[in-house]
Amino acid sequence: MAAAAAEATTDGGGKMIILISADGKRFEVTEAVASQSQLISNMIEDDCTENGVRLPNVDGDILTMVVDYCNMHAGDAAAAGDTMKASSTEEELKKFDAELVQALENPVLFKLILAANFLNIKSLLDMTCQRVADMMSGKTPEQMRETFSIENDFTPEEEAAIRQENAWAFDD
Amino acid sequence: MEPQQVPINDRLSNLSNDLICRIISNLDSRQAVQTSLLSRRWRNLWCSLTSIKVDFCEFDGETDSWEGDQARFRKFVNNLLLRRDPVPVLDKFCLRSYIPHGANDQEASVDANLWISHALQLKAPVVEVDQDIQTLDTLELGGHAVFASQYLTRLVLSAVSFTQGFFKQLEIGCSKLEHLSIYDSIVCVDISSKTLKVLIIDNSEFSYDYNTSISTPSATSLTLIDPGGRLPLLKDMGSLVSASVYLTREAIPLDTAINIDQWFMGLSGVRHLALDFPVEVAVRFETACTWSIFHSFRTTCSDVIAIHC
Repeated sequence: MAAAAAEATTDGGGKMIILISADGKRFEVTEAVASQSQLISNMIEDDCTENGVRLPNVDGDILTMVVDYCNMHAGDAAAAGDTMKASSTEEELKKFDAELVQALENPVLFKLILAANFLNIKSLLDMTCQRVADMMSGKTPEQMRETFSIENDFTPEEEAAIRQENAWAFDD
Repeated sequence: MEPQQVPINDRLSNLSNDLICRIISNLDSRQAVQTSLLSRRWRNLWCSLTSIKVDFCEFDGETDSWEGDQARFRKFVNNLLLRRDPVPVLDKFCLRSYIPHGANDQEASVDANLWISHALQLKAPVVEVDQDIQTLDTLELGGHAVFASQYLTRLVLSAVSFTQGFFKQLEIGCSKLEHLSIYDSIVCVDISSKTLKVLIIDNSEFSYDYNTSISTPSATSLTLIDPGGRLPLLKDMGSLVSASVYLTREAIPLDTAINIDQWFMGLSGVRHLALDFPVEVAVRFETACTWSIFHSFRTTCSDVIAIHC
């Protein structure tokens, strides 16, 4: 991260921000990296990042993943005008994202969704939500309950009533 | 709705309604509706889907005939569109249909048009329509359905054809449309739009006995890949910055088309031009094309990439 700081002298990304996780871990990142979070970007605009940004609902291990993700994707915006540069790193980014998302399992996956939602990082939120959808896709309701530990709190009558009400979506 | 008690290890159900809807909007809509059966918490969450994806394949083979499957598909889409809560913003509507060769495609087209029209009323900015290409039949867009939306920005169409007034109606009704992609379709009507910025026409058939014209004065990017029939006339393309033209079919219908010089004039002014022709056309291009036009390309284009197959 120190190297990133030394390099980040262009695009106003040189200034460093401290992010502080719920368990007190500190992460030093450039403004360019941090402002992929819309929440932090707004704070930067409002000049209230001087004493570090406390993120009381994001654990250190999750914030580590978020910071890695943002570091990896920080080039996106900067390289947008430079198509050659963007295309050369596009493959790497795809690979990084695929590996990150594939490795995600319950409960880390859901913690990351909550963090991405809170920090307002749309691309990370889209990617993690897609991962959950992929885990649901092709499964019957019963299999989904099993995968995600969802408790069926319907009475048999209620369940039958819903099947009836939404019969157009079921195959009976 | 009363907050329900959900076990702590059920992290999915513990997410907010918005997040769950975001997740299930990635699913095929039929499966999204079926989540209503998971638990009380899930009963009505599907009603706030932000993206609708309806696909005939989900119903394929459920009865012993296509007509039976299609009837179920139709019932599903009608119910979904009527019962979904109309308030949450719809981000995207995707329709995948399948009309086997020789089936009653008119009825299927009427349905598809109504559904698209409904999705536009729900303010979907992105609409994708896809008919199975294997069947060689197309969905016909237009007709009596109303295509009007101040929200539609992107329209992606595969294996469709168009009624006479389709693009006129689109031009008048959808004044924010910026991106139009047409794949594997039949284009026998003139395309005109004052708002389109990006136009892609890939592997589509133009009319053989009529010079279809394209008039998109705001378009900055044109991609024309493997057209059949007469090459479309490029009229009023004054804003084009980049154009890619790939004529890769063996029989290039240049004999029946307009003068090739004249055709290329439609591209004068572009800065990035990629051309790809089979060798016999390339020869014609070099011999038939007047040098003055080629010169005008040289002076205006910063890069001309001409690849001869």
